Amino acid sequence: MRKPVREAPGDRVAGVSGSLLSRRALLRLGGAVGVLGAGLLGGCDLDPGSSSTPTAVPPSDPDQHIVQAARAELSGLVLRLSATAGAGSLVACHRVQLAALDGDPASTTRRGRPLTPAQTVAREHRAAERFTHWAVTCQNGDLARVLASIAAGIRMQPVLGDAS
Amino acid sequence: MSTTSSVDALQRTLAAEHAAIFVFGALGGRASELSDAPLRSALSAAYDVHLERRNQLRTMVTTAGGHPVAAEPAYRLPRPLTNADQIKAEALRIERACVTTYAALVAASAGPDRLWAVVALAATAVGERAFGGRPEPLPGLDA
Repeated sequence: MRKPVREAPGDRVAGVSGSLLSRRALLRLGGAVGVLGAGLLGGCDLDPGSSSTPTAVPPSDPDQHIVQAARAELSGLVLRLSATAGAGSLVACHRVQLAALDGDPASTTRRGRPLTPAQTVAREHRAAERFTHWAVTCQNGDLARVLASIAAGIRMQPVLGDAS
Repeated sequence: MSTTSSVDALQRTLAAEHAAIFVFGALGGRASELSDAPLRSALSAAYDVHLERRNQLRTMVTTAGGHPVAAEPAYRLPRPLTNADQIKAEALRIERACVTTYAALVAASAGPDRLWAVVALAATAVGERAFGGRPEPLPGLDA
């Protein structure tokens, strides 16, 4: 089910913009519904005669592994970049992106080893490529939009623009 | 077989490209009298990119079983557009609107069409710098 598209009168370009729902709401709808639905199904019994043999199979979220990998990628970047001099804006960027995936805020006390400038560029490039791949391959369209936006957001950062 | 929603999203993206082509053409004309060569070059490049995407989208819509939407006779431009800052601001507004449109197409499509939208989203977001755009963590997503 796709979301409604709001059209601004008299402006065809603005009128083709995206949904009115927040990305967090979209992710909760798209990603968490499987888990939530499984719990509800497990707790309900629509057929009293079959209560001793539950047959409901919790539906698995086909994108769960992508969401987990995406969160891990961003958390890892935050960890390493937090120890890297001059990477404050990148850390802030990845924290926002991690929040968009409903990921746990990366620890501010744990610090990884700092990255060299070349390593930073390489890690950011790798992340952008991974998010692009995940955006193309995931099944949930709303998740794909968030992943594609994250990939673009990484590519927008000056550290990559200056390197290209 | 493409779904109705994916064809609709392709059509909306095509409509956005029609508008972008019109506006960038007008902005290029306005900028032709300015001495800002980088701006003129950036406008020309953006015009060419949107023209190419428009053509690609027409093919994508047709392949998906739709009849490509036509351009409107004209599109409203803000006034005034007499100096480089005003022209840059309008160019940036158009590019950002297109980024949001590409993001919507990502959500509504799959396979090659989604890949096209993902690539267009990133390229346009990065290209915003030519018009004074600043890096964003999540380009194309409504807050």
